Amino acid sequence: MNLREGRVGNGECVFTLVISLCMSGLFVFESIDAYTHGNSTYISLPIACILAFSVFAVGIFAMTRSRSSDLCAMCSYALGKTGAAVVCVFIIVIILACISTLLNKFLNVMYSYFFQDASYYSLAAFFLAVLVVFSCMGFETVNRAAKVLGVVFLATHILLLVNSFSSYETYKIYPIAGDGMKSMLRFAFESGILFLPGFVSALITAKGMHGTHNTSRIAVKALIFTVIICTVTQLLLALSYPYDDIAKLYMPLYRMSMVTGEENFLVRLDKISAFIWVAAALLACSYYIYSASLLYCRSFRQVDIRPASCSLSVIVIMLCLLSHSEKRGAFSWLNFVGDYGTLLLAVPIIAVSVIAIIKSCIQRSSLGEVGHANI
Amino acid sequence: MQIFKRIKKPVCFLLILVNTLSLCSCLGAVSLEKYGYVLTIGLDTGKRYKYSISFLMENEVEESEQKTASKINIITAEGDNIYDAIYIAESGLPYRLNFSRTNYIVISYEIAANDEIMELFSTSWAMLKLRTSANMIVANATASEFIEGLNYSSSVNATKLESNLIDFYENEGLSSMMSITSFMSAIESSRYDAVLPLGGTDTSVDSPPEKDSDTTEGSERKGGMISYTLGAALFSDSVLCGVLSGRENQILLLIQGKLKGSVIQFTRADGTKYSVRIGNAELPRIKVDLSGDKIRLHYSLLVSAVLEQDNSSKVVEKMRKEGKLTEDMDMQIREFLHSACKTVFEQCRDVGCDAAGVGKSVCKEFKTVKEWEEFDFRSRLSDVECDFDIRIELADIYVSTYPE
Amino acid sequence: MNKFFRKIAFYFRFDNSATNNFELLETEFGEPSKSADEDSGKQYNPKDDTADTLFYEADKNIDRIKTAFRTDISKDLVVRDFMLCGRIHATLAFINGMADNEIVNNYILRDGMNGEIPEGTEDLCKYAVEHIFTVNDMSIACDYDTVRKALPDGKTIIFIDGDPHCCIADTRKFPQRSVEAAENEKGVLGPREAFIENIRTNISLIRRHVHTDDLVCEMRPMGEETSTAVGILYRDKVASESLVNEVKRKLATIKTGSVLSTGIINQMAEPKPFSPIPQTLLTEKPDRCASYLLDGHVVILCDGSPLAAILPVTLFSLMSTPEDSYSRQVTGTVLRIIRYIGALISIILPGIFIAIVMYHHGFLSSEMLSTLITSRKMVFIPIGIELLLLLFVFQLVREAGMRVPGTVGQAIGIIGGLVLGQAVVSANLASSVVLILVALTGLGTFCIPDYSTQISSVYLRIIFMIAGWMGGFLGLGCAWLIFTAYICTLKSFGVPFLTPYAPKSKSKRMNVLRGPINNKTHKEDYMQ
Repeated sequence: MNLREGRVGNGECVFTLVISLCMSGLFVFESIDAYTHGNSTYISLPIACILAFSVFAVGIFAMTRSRSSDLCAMCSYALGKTGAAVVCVFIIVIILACISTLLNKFLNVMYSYFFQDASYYSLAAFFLAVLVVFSCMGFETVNRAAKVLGVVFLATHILLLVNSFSSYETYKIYPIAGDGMKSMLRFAFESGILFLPGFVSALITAKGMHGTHNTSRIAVKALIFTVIICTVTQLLLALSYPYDDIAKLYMPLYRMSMVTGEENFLVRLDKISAFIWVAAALLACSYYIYSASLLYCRSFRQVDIRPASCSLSVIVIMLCLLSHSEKRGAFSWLNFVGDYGTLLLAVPIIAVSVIAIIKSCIQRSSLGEVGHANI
Repeated sequence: MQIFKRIKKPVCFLLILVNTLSLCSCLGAVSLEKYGYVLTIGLDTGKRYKYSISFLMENEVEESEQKTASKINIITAEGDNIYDAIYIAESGLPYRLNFSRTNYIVISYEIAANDEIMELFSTSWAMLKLRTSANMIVANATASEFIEGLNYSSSVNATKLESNLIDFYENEGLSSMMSITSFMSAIESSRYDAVLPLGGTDTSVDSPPEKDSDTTEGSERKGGMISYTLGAALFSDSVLCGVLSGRENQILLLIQGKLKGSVIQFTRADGTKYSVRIGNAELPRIKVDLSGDKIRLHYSLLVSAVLEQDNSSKVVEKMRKEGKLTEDMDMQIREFLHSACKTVFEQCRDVGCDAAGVGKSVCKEFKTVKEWEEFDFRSRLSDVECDFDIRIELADIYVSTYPE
Repeated sequence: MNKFFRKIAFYFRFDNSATNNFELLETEFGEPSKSADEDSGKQYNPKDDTADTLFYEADKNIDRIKTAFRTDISKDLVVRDFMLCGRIHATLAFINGMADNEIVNNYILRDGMNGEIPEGTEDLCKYAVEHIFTVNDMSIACDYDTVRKALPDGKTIIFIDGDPHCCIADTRKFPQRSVEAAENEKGVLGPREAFIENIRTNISLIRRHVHTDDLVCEMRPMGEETSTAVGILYRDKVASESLVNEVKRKLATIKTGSVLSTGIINQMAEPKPFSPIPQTLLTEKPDRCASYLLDGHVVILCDGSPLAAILPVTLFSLMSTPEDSYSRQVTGTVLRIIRYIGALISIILPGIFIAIVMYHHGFLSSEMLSTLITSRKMVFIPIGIELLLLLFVFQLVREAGMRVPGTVGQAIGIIGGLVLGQAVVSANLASSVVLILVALTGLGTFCIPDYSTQISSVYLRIIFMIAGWMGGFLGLGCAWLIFTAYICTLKSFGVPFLTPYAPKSKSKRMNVLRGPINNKTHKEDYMQ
């Protein structure tokens, strides 16, 4: 088998997961949806993250109970091979939709802010090269690169937030409650899809993370860091722009350091940050592509992950490019995923988990103390 | 076959690389010498077309020619929008115009007052890749005259000159500086209004003035640049609605809590004079009362006053020894500032400009967006009442500058 | 046609199993790789050469040797018949100029002639070695191959009539360099001595630093024609057994005619010879070797080469110098940070410059833009080509300076740097800003301590430059990501290249920031 799982440590996995979750959590949602009726994302996003984690927790509990090494094994245990294959394909499609949304965002940023004379295809080719290399090189490479580059990402992010200090004013955050608790919770629920791919990928790569127990520890640490980063960033964004201003910005974080209007030697930090975010997004997408490929390989008994990684990378790029072409109407299902993605991804996982738990309980009670190893 | 095995991966890698290279191509690379970098944009009403747009660029000369050649190049073109003007201008230039280093956007009074700024800005400024920290200025006359007046032979280069101007004005408080990002933010957010620096041209620098507007706020000046920036242009939303003088602008900055330092001279009852440097010691504390029909504000300002020059007499020395000097100065400064703040605030309010940022404080009183939007603060701006509570922190008053 | 498609399929096939990658155990929850080569890390058993045996008659043996060494043409071989203990015919042979005449005369010939041997002694060679010859290093060989290889080594062979064995005495004495200061790894605070071409001397230099009894030196002859002595040094029970076995296995797979230097062994034994990053560290300092040996690394020495190969290595090993350990902690840290910045500048600065100049002009201040435009006013070459040209000229000057001896070599550097640079700017072939950039890049290159990595940085920066030219910061960022992925995947004899940062290990060896010297244990956990 050449599934390129390698051997990785806890720190590396935490970095990968945090980068993936933060990139999705901070950049994917549309400003107009999030901010038109007030800015309470610094409350909604942590709730969304916790919601996604709870889905993960159910999944990991079921995996532990059924002694499955990863998500595919649990699906096979619960539904049999055919059922598992169907569910896995469905999960892969949703994950691909999420990846293409994230990548599309940065494709637009690169085109609009930096390379207006280029075409989307040229820009996408650069993305494709990185995605193919990372996803083919495997889990170990993605995680180690995340650890190496994670420090750079974090340092730049903190520098950006600190540099914009002079633009933080408390009046911009008012009204604090946004449009009320109801809309806050609704947005939190809809935003669950931002964090679910990361946690689902953790379930898929649980074997590479050295078991379910270790994976859950990693996920908890990643949750804490993600919640802190997302909350602080959104809070500081709220202090930088009033809600009606920020709703019109495509990528408010990019414009954050420009609000100060002061010219200092860090004034170019916004552009540097943009490229660093692109690198982080590519890393996150590579991780998702790798986990989707791994799920596919395990479901369909493929011995080498590279054909699946290459194919899925190309599919993701194709989805991004097609949304900029005349055929964009055909991809309205991506918007559907954006609106109902939380349900689409959470329901199958919870359902499979519940079935697996029930099955394992029945088996345990019928077999006595002898457990059924399903690795 | 063994050799093929060893070089298999590099060959594959090269193949992929070559294919990817052919896919990606260059992303529209343009070398920097193919651009002319616009330092200032001037927006005026055109004669034949809607707008006349001026572009100020640095004149790149060799070291040997630097002393004699002009520092700046000004190109003017007309068009119905900025893109048309750019095309016309570029047609006569050996390079493309690049706005990534633009320091200033100068808008003529006429355009600002006729609500044409948003029409110009509504075209996608992002496509111009305009530097978002570019500052905006409203020119009392025409923008092109203001830009021409920026030519100053003693300066090293135009960029340094323009960046020095920003530092200077911020420190003295005679103008407010606002970048294009902040200006757009002011219009979008509706919690405060933009206040832009007011520019003018003073032809008395070179020749005797013919009218008052040819001077610097009524004062003749010799030497220096023809263009100057003094005072503020008040905006209500995106429309120019009034102006403030340099001194009034300092008071406005005091109300906003942004005054770093400004020297004011006072005359005592006995005719002696003293000068104090005033500035904000802390941000103003504002209390909002929405209980009645009108919005009532209570401004609490803590102002630091440092004695700079005191042309005092022996009478004042006596007052100092008796400890009565503090009361006297405190009362005088407080009365002056109270009256000045109230005048400037009402002046801004009456023209419909929320220069003091009243909306920032009012919006804090609402819990939800719905309530805030239903309140419709902009329509109630003209009914705002404000009273000021000014406290003075005197310093260095016991330093005697009286020559023995 | 079938053959052609099979070739294409061979290039693009997806393997059923992973490539043969030797992997050491890792500290975190790891198991040995199931996909590694079957032979990886297994016990190495050298081939048992059963070569042909020797004759009982000394004359026949010596005639055979004479024929092999072409004594009719070459007069290097000295053959001396003598009577062992006055009654048994014996012949000795050695190569003129390689054997110590004093030892041959006094301790073989004199002692051999004057000795006594009892009648009926069967193992004549064994008796002679134990009782007659007083040379300290003697061995007995029974196969012709060993005898044949001993002569060019400087040893003396002695055949005795009636015994199909041969006595081999170590009488080596040939001209060699004395131990001098290191030329390529200069230091201020640490020891100055460097290796020389004699492997024995080199081993003794290492043993002077490592006084442990577990330091093992296994010698292997390598090269079909040169039979060069190659020494594998490691600390028994400290160095990983599978690592040592893997090294021996790799060396055993080297089938080449001549091995003249450690560099050749390096190229043939490295897991990825085409990688821009070296997977072994070549050094000429014994103290550096000793330091790594104490940590459990393996050192390879080659007779005739003043360089030792240390393996496995990590990125941090390649970027560190012994000077860091000998300096104080803060000094060492600052020097290291400067070195890393220099290395980064050398690799990435040209790419950043091209990206900014071609795509992201807003990064430069207006004054800088103005200076650049003014300096390039009359330059007709596009800026990318100009940069490439100057980088190439810099390399030319560097190569010329290395080849030209003595003071003239230094003058080349001055001429190249000052005069040529000035002339190029005056002739409008290049701009002064780009010249400064190239000089900075060159200085950054020299900050990299390891010579192989220095040379790699030359073409790495070209790759980044092309990436920046093609795609600005996006291209540069993507190239950097791919490079990071590559070095994250890279392993040096089973140890990931970015250890102990990724993967994390409890290494006390100093990485970027220099840690304290005290409480340092010598066993690195990632080496186990």
